[in-house]
Amino acid sequence: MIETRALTHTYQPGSPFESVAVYDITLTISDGEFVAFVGATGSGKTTLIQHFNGLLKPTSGWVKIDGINPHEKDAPKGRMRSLRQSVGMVFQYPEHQLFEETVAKDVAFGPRNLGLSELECGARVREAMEKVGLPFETFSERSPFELSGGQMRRAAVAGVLAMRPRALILDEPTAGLDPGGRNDFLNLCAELNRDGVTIALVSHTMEDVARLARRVFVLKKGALARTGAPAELFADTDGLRALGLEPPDMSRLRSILNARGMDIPADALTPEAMAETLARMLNPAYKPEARP
Amino acid sequence: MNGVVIGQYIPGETRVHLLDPRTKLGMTFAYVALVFCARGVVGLVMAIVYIAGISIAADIPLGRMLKGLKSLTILIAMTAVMNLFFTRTGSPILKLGPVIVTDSGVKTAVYFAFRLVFLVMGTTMLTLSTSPIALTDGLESLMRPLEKIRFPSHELAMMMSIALRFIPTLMEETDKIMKAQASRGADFETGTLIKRAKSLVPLLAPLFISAFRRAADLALAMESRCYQGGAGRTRLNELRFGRDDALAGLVMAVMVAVTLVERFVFTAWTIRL
Repeated sequence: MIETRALTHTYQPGSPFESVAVYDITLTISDGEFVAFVGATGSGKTTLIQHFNGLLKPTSGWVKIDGINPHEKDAPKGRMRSLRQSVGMVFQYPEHQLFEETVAKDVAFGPRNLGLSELECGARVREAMEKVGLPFETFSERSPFELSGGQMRRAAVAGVLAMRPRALILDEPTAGLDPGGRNDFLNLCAELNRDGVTIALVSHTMEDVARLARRVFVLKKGALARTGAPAELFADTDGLRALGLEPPDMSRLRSILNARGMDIPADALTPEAMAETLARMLNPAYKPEARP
Repeated sequence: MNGVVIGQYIPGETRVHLLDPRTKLGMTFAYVALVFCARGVVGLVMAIVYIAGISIAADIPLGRMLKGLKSLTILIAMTAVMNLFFTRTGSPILKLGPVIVTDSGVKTAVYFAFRLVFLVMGTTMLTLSTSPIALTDGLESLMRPLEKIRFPSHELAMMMSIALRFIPTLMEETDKIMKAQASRGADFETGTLIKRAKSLVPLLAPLFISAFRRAADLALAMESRCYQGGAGRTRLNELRFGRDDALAGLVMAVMVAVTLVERFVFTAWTIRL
């Protein structure tokens, strides 16, 4: 569980370049949840999430992970290591952090830092690589720098997954991926979440947020502007625009159709759900196809 | 990481800030010559007038200039000690076994210490009141005559500007990669020296890769905008001498002249240091 109370972070306090990046944020993310952070560029999303594994220290207020405040003086020794193990962080363009000679060695960097045995490291590397879709036999001995962009990103994410985090923070993980790569990646997130991993996703793509998140935090100029389920949040298309966000396609379609007299419920957020709803409304004889 | 300050430059709009960088470079060279030529009390006064004048005109407190001295304290102290104990001319005033201190040794020690302090303070004035970019522009313009002997002045200045431009970018990148590796359990702070040096590999390797990638991107971007070196290139901001530049040059010339006159003409009349 990740909790913050009145968390405020100021960059370069006391200098002429002082700037408040996030202000008075109070929130709780429960175990196993899938939440999303959205907001215009510069709204403080990245700064906020970097508090979740102790990379940044709040200027005031506090953050607790599983009930422990990592910055408290009497926090248990080695807390940072265990914190970074339990909360994994995937940065923007994570492929920029690759450095080893082979993919397997790079993925093993995290587990090695945890002090695990060679055997355990090997098992985790294999598992993480298979999970992200880089078969161990094919990729383990290749240099990470001869992979394609999408494969590099997967290798970098495998490096985080190999630490077996119980919560995963992802900062715009699909930026720059092609549609196929993006779909694969989002499916991976959904799958991890089904396995019980808490996920916090920072994204500019409202379609992704609508599809996956169960709760959305909207940031504006460093403050928490709104919190809610995607259906209720995206239903208010004008309010969303006022926060500097573009509503997902299906919410826009819904508001256009409802303005012309239809009555589409707010939870038809994905193209699939929308198609299903429309088919039902327009054709009383419609029977949903059986899906595997 | 917004607003990273490079060097010591204090942004401002004073007449000193707005002087042509070439004027300021010239003044600084003249000032250095002045400090080296000064042999009497008048030269010393000239140096003080220069520092105080610029400090007031550029609205930069003297304390900021003294900051530049901190790293040089050891050098200055060493020079003073050397002069004090190893000068053999003049009449001895203290004898302790093999150690002899002479009156001219004391004089030289004090004189050299002051000379170094003045030197550093005066030249710090230049970097405090001139942005690094303006400085490179000025240097390029001053080095241009050397192109006759195939000295690559434009290329050198361009390299300096690019390096300056990328310092904040690389700092940001370093910060990001450090955080990413720390998230994977990397530890940059504890352990033996060898362990800490080794722990830098996961930081430096990605940093070099991204620096090379940026360099390649920049080269392409410059070429696609038809950059082909300095020949025939016009400037967005032409350097121009103005009235203030003439005034500053005149004052400087007078100050140097007075110092030279004191040293070579009125040697007998002034208080020698």
